[in-house]
Amino acid sequence: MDIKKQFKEGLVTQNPVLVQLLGMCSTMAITTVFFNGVGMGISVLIILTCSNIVISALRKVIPDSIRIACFVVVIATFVTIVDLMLQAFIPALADSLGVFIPLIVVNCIILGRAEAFCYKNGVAASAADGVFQGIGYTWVLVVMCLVREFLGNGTILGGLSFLNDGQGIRILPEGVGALGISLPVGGFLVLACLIAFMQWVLSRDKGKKTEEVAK
Amino acid sequence: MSDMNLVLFGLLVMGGLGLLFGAVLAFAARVFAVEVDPREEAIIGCLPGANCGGCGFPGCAGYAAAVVKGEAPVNRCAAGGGPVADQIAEIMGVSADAAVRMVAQVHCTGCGVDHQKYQYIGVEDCVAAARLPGGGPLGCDYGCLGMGSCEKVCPFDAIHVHSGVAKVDEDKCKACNQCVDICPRHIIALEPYKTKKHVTIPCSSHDKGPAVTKVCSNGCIGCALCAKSCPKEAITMVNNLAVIDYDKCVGCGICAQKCPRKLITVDGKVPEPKPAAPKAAPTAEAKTQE
Repeated sequence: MDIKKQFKEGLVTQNPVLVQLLGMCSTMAITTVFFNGVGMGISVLIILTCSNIVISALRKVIPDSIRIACFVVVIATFVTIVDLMLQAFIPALADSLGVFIPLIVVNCIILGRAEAFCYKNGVAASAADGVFQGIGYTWVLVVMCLVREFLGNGTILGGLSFLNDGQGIRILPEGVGALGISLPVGGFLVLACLIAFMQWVLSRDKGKKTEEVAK
Repeated sequence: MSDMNLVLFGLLVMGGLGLLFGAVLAFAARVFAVEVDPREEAIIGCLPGANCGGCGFPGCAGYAAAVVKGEAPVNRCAAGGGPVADQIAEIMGVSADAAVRMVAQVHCTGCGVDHQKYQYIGVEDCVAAARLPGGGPLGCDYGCLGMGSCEKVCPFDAIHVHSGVAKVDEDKCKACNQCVDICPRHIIALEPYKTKKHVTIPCSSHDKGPAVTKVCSNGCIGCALCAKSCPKEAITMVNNLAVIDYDKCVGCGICAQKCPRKLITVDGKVPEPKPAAPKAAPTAEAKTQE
């Protein structure tokens, strides 16, 4: 497996949020404050990598007809472990992410990668896939958080307890932010703009390549 | 046969995975265990679990957490009342004798229902009627509109409109604040309820005397006779309306005797002026001597 290709796929061309459009629920719900986005992204990254490794290791043992049930058992285990860890070490983050941590069990990204990649590929490739797809998810969440927090609340880097008591750095004066951007409708708008930008970049690259080929 | 093998193999794999990851999780739960104050769970156990929000906290679990943190008193649970307060007090190791039962009281006698500004034909709902010009059809600007918004919102069937005015059934009332919140006239309030000698001034009018007498047969005219006669100085005049401070009131009923409008009630009744007068004085003395 070509690790460079995997890297590019995870972050850009097969980005789980912007291209595969998986895991929309958590993307809309938690990308309001910077720290939430980072926390959620890293949680998914850890769970995705661990479950990818275990599922690809077990792929010869798991019978075809009950594979989905087996995937869910593996994923649920790691989600529970991460949930317990967050509650033990970062209770503030566990509170603000709330039910979206347990909901990672049914997050399409992880089940989707298990079905589409790990069930067909080796352990090392699956681990790399988990890391890159996880980073792809995380960077989109972080960008959405930055945009939504800035436009909706007028601050950046909110939720970090050591920074201004979790209030973030205020850029716009209080009351100027558009509340709608913090609500789910704003999430859809920001995501749509990101996807449009992504498609524009991808099609431009494609256009360049075809021109080169033509030359 | 191969089908059978598949089933058995599937069972074996799922069972094995379940066992393996079960063990992993048992280990993880031990390693990352969060210590929860056992008192919190004990308190949740003795709360009614209705999550009514009457205590002002988000549900029973929220209240239990606040009690353990010391942010809430043990007697806040309106639905559970005294017995639950006692149990929580025992868990927290404090005494619950401060537990005073609160009961909603409607501060209107409804004696102004005959004085209507205009005829109201519309939705039978106080909130809707109160939006009309003049704040509804009632002559008195402060009184009960009697359309039963409180009756509809009460989850305990404890408040009913009788002949144009809402009355609280003290036995059923759980002090959940729902009627207090919905009343557009803001004439319902929670009062500490004493099973004996509970004195109330059922009027909310801040109008001056002549204005009150025009629209109501026994509303408070702000004469302040009750305030002057109270031996405990428990009654104060607030903007032409007598208001009782229940921390000071001993339930002697002297104010009820003096009220020229026969408005003030003791245990829900207006005391008879002559036979009750000599009785009320000694009970007040007995109370003070205690």
